Amino acid sequence: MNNAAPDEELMNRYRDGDARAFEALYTRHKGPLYRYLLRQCGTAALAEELFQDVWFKLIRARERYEARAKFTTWLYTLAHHRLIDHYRRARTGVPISYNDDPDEPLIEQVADLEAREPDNELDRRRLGQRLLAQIAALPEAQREAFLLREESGLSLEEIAKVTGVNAETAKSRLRYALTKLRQGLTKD
Amino acid sequence: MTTHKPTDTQHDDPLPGDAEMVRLYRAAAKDVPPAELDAKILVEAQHAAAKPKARGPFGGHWAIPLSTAAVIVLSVGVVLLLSQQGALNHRDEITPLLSEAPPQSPARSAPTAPLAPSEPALPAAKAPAKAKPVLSETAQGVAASPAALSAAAEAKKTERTMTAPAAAPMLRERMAEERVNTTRDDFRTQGKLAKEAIGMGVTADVIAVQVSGEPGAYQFSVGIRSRDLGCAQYADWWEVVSKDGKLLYRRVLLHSHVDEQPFTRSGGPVPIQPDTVVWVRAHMNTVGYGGIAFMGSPKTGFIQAMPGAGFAADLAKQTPLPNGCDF
Repeated sequence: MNNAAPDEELMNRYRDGDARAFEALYTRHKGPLYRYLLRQCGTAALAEELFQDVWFKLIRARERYEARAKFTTWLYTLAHHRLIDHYRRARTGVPISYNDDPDEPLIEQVADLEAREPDNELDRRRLGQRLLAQIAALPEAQREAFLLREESGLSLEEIAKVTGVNAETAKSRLRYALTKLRQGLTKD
Repeated sequence: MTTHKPTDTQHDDPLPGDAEMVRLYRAAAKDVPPAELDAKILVEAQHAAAKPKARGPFGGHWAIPLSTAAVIVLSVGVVLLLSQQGALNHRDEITPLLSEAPPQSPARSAPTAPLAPSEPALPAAKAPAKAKPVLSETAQGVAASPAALSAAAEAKKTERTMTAPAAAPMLRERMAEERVNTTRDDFRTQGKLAKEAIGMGVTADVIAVQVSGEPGAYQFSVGIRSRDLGCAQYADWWEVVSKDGKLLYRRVLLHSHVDEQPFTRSGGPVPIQPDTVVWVRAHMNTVGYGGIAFMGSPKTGFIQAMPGAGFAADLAKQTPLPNGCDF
């Protein structure tokens, strides 16, 4: 098994019955997908449930897979749909941030984060935990844009496709997310 | 303000960003799914890969229409065949509960003929002539074409369904014509009522409990069997309860598990010590508690047990509670 093979090739092989190809794909994507779901739904128990559902759905849909699009786009589209489905059926409904454009003024000029690079490992860990808290506090749609970029490595166009919005909306969400995170980290 | 520095070649969008922030995120976010979930998904994938493929000469987009057509063709063919050969007079083909001696099944001894690999999927009007051989070939292990193999997989399903739901209405009519003994119907009705009366199959039963982790923060992995029908009837949580009826931990389930029975879900941390004896039980959204539970401690392990009637029933109103049902 060539574990360095592209995702699409591995998925094609799995579609044709090669279970080891799936194992390679799963190993490659399980962490990013799990973290995306974990940060979007907040608890490990929920994330595990959704995570399993997404992979099971992919397994059941394997025979319909055709490598027309990037594998990660397909995988995260399944995950996004599962997440929205979960939101929709929950009593709280789909978070409002998915419908509204960001309405707060965006303050672009914030201190350069690299200028205050942490001095030691302890500082770095504290700052890392603070960043995770800031990410958790982001509106869902903005957080999703950030996670899709950092975890799955999707481009803006691909984030837009996965989340069903136009590229400008995806860009706006990501821009707001990054700015808020920087603001949160540079506050003392 | 720094300009965005892509940390990944795929990040080609000129957005404001911080390489340092990305580094911090990647250093802090290390969560991965539990190993048992990995194993479960990989087993499911292996199991699926081992199943016969539906793809063939008519694979890809044609796979579903082809299989649907094959089911229709086979269904019509088998029904006609049964009608011609009088099989429908033998009601025990579908009613084994009536405990009559089963007659020979004419359908299984039908003559065979090869199915052309390039057989078009849709002309159902020619169905009866083509349906008969596929069933027979499958039953007798005759080498078949790829299309026939694909259809044969459906034929197996059809064989099953033809002996129950699909054929049932027609057979019921036939049985009515033959004045089926009413005492048998009475027996069935009584059996059904008896089942409902004792609540058989409608509770959520715990069938296994595994514990890992450390004192004060144990992880529980709980196997559950429940007759889930969808959101209208499903196991909606499992929980750990102290001997004196206090809720220690509850794992709310997001959805029903109609196609995944029994199923296992993990949760924690459960704040108990190695020798703390607790109950592990499940809850059904329709009838509440009342199923088989497990009792034990991390130190001794867990065994099947039944708590007393009404034990800690008020916990059903305590949070956390399900926030809807996904499906």
